[in-house]
Amino acid sequence: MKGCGDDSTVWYGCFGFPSLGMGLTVMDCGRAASKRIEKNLEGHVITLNQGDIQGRKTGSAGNQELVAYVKKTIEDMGLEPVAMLFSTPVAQVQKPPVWTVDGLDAHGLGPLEVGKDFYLIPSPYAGSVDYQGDLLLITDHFYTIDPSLMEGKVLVTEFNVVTQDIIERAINNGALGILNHTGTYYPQDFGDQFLLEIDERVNQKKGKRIFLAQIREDLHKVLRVMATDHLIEAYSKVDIANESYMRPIITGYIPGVTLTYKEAYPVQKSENVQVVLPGKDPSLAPVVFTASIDDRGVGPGGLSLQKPTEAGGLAVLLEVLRGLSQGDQAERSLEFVIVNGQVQGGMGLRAYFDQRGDLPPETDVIHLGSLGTPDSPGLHIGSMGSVDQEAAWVLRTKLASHGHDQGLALAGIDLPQAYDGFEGLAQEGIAHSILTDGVASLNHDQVDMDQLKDVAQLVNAYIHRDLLGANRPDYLPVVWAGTVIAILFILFLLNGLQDFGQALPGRTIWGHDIRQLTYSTPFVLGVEVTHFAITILVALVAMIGVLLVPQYFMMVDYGGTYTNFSGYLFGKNIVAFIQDVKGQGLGVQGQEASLLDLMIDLGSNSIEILFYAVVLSLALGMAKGLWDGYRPNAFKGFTSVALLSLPDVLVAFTGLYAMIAILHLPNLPQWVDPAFLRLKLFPVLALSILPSLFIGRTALLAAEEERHRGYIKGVIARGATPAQAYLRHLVPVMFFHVIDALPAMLKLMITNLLIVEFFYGYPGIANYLLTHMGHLSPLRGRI
Amino acid sequence: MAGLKHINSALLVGVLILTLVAAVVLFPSIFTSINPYATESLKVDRDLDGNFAFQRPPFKPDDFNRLGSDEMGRDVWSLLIYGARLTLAIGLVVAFCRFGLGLLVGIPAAYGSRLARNLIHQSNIVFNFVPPLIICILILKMRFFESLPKTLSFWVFVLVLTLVGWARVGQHIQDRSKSILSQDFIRSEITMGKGPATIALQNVLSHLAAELTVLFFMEMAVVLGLMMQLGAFSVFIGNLRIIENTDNGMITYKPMSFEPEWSAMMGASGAYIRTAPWLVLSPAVAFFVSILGFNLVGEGLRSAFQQQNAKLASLVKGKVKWATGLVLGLLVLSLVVNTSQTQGGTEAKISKGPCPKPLQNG
Repeated sequence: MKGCGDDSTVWYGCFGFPSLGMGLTVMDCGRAASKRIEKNLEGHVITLNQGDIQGRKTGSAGNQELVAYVKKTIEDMGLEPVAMLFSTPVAQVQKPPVWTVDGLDAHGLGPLEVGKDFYLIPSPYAGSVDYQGDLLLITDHFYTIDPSLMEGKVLVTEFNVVTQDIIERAINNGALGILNHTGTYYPQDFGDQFLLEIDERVNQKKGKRIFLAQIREDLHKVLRVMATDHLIEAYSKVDIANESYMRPIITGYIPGVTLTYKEAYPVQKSENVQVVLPGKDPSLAPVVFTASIDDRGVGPGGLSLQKPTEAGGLAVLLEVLRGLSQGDQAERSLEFVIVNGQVQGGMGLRAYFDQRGDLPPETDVIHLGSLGTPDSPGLHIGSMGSVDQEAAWVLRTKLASHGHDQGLALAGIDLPQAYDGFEGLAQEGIAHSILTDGVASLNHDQVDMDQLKDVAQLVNAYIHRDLLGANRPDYLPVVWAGTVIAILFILFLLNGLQDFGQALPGRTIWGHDIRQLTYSTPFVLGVEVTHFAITILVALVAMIGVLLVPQYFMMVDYGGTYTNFSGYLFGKNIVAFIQDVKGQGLGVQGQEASLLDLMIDLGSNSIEILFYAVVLSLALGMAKGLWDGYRPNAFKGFTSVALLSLPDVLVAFTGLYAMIAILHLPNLPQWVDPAFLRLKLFPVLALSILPSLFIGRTALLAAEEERHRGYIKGVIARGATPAQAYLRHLVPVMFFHVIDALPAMLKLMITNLLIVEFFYGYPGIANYLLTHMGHLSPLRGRI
Repeated sequence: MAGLKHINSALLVGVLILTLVAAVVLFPSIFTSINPYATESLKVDRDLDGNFAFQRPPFKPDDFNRLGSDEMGRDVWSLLIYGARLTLAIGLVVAFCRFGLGLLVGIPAAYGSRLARNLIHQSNIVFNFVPPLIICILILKMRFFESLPKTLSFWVFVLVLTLVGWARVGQHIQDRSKSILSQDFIRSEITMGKGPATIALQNVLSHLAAELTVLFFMEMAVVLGLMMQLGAFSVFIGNLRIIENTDNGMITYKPMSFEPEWSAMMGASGAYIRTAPWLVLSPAVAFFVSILGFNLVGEGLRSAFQQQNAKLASLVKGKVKWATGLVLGLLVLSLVVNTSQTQGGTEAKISKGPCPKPLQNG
């Protein structure tokens, strides 16, 4: 039985399932699902990064322990090995491949000596060296290198993009130039304008050609060093198979030179964990999801190299598998392979696919690898072997649209030579970073769990919508019909509500003047509060209704599945749509399981801050109103107007800057919980400032108006002090006006909510709505 | 001191602010000498040791760019100054349209037209419960509207902003007209043989005039506030999308406007709210100042019209008429100036290609 406590709710949602009978509220359920994913992912990441497992290099004890953990996790899901064995012995890389260069002597390019002609900066670099050569090879830690080393050198770097910052640093430290993957240039020769041009084009693909042209002009100097055994060995030492871009440079520009690349690695038994979920149609090529389990061993300082980021990919894969364990069958077979020997040498995948002769060329392979920096640890989705490359593009677009800067999925070419696929990618200059770039110094608490969760959901969404929902017809006409009906329904409801509400502003209830009812307050209050509650409810329903529309606009853009509106318009049927909304299928946009589930989850987040904000606004507003209303003067009137002129955007921004300033305080006390500031205090404050001013002004105006009535003068004439008259007669009237103004205040607050949630990155319904409307990129980022 | 108590400070401050705003609209060149269209893509400095320091836009505020620059290197202060014209023009046109539509539908509704009454009632329901901000974003974010040329986009903008707000104005006019129409003197006007249209023009409008003037200023503030919110979500007129990044086959569009306009400046908030606060706060403050001006004038007029003291009222009313006339006149004048420039000016400027760099001092 599927229910809230069930793992399946993570993906399937719970609305409409028997879970409702299990005593759980809908809201609990949505949160449980969301929390569950997070908890599971975090659990995996922590386990995979345990301090007592000293490295999980292929074949090591730690590695075996983790393989056992992965196997047990999968078995706990109730999955059985179907087509193949659980574990597969795979040839492992221990040594890097051997490179040989022939024919260099003819060009007078003799071998150079390490430490004399060039120096290799180990990664990460620590300490200083005495070095006289021309080149400085920087493998990946540009910022940890002693700047004095750069003087008079050409820096050989491996950045995809040379940033302004890198150029500046290099120039200021006297470097001659930077030789990147794709080229080199010397600022002294070309001047600032050239720098600028390069920098401007660096983001464009064509820019790479410009760099290459620059290399050719000074080719001799560069190649003299590059085309040597030493440099090749140097590259090999950093575990990167650089043949793809070194080969054309060396063999293409130096006539008569040949380059041989030979794998020389002993075969080692280790285990790949594999699960196959057979598809309905065995003739179709499978989709293979892969993640790596090994790492690069223990690095300097006792830190295990590349654990956390790779662990992220593995954690995602496990959780995706969990979502599938309930027995939905796709058209194509789904295979999940956790590969050993991948991080160390980048050979595990290749070895694995070499042994899988049974895979047809149309197989899609999606690798959940990682790439990260300490500032933004991230996950990458790589794919190879996709014939139409669509799978990878779909995922990639989704990931990018979820605001992950590094959201990157790649499409390669031709299985069964999966590794060659990566080689093809390497020519694009990015594949090796997917395979090997990682951050040595990350701890598990530096893994961005939010991002991990997003990636897991996206991969899962892809599986559910594009693979499990294969051949599912379009359902847009139903959506439109449903939206129109929903809007009509809301209008109908609002109409009735308006009529009901209009009875109140007339100041009579069942024939009684409202002022005479002052002392039967509970009754009047009851009516008003009911009115207010219904208003809130209707506003939320309306918001969800509006929400459906952009959802479907988005689908048109998403993933390349539908390229135009008409393609989208015809095809999906009502059953599929209802299933989607109920959560048996997939949430519309590859979010959590069901749209409804998500709406409830996000909606409850929004209601939470709305509630606090309403309470706070009423308290603050009434306090201000009482103060201002007692003895109104021109100044109080003036300030109440002036403050109310503050635009909500400005208030929200000011609050945001204040929050950032506080969170960045160097000595923020331990007892201050940043999450509380970020998710509760400041959003609520930003939400309630304007509404409280509004309430204050409403109360003030009410008091002013009532004060001029005759009976107040009568009361004072009969001997009451102004304070008594104020408390006994004006204040109750002010209260009624304030309660009457509540719906207007709520409207103000809901508009405000849109702004606050969006700019504060609050996980609420308004933020979701806005980020999915049009092309607003979600503001994500840590403060 | 007794005299001070009776000075209508809100009106005074409001008129001062609006006069300043009108001056900015009419004579922008007094306030800045920098061309708001000029872009700059790199600043190079050397420090005392002779080290280079490169700066990419958005530049921080410095001696040249008093309020910094935007992501294309345009000077924020001059964008603010020149942007006032277009921004206020939109606000003014929208407010006029809302009142025009409100009067057109509201007065028949007061006379009892079922159609007009239902129109106001239903529109009010829709736009009262679904925040206008969402509706505006939903409509104006559609690709079709985003890709319109500037002049068309201006009128689409006006249309949508008018639609989401006219019903509230209409409702108010309906209520007020109804209460005027129920008064005794109307009956005597009818017996004198005046038709409904004549009464509406001669009696209802003249009684509404004072209140409508107050409301008009308040409405301007409301519209400006909405424009600001829309700007924060990158919705503004003449939305020109720039392809930002074609790396790895990924194309992302960036909504930008080449036209100086405040809500377009707010559009940078999505990307730069954390890294370049000056870019976001400057237009926000500009909006605040003008909203404040309109609100204060509205409030000042309201309290002036409500004065109990008849002697004082007549005195103030004379001044109020002057002040209202002056401000409205200036605004309309600025609108005329602006639209006449819109025809020839901006599109030609964009098609001419890159703008000349500003003269750097030193």
